[in-house]
Amino acid sequence: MDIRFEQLSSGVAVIRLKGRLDITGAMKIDVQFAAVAAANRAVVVDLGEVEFLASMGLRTLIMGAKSMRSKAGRMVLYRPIPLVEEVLVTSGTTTLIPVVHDLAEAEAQAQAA
Amino acid sequence: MIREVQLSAEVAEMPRLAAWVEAEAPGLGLSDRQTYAIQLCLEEVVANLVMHARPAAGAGIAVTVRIEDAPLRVTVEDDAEPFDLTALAPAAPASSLEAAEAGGLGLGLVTAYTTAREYRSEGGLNRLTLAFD
Repeated sequence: MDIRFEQLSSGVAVIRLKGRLDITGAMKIDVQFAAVAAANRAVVVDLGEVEFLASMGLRTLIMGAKSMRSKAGRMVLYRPIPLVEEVLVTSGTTTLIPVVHDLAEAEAQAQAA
Repeated sequence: MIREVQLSAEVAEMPRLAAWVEAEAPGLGLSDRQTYAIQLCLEEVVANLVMHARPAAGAGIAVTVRIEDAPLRVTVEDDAEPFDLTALAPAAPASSLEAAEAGGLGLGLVTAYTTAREYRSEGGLNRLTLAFD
């Protein structure tokens, strides 16, 4: 599981995840993910290269989005593959954190007031 | 066709379990969706054993995972103290991020990704059988 960060010119922070967001993957990125979520008002999480997502990974995403919300920030999930998106929908996560497949739309939603 | 793997209930074993399913998938004729569903359910069930199960004897918990095809079934057998996951009610989805709590999503996923779940405990062994489409 890899985690990388990028600041877009719009000011939006992008967290790029790659690999398996399972129990070992979540344990590996949890601290860094939470730190970036805490330090930014608008975060887009690029899930495009996440091949597997299970409940421990959902926990990482939801707890990050929750801590951002408590400080009036927003997280958006960007371009999950279909099998990963199915887990997001089935678990009810898409009702808590928006999922979009277009970067401009992701940036706009992350910056929405 | 039956495939079987043995592991101990430790986090360090989880990658090996996922890789084993991946490696067995072609031979069992599993679709990508079936492979994902099985990996997902095994991750939730075995992670639960790793984090919460109490060894019945002194030395750790031994786990045997079996996959059989036609019909597709996955069995997780362990020698921990009995604990019936299927008797728990899955957590209700949070209505908002403010109300969201850590954890509780795994059981709901297992329920959603399987067609039936059966738990039996006898002779010091607990056996959870999961059925898939």
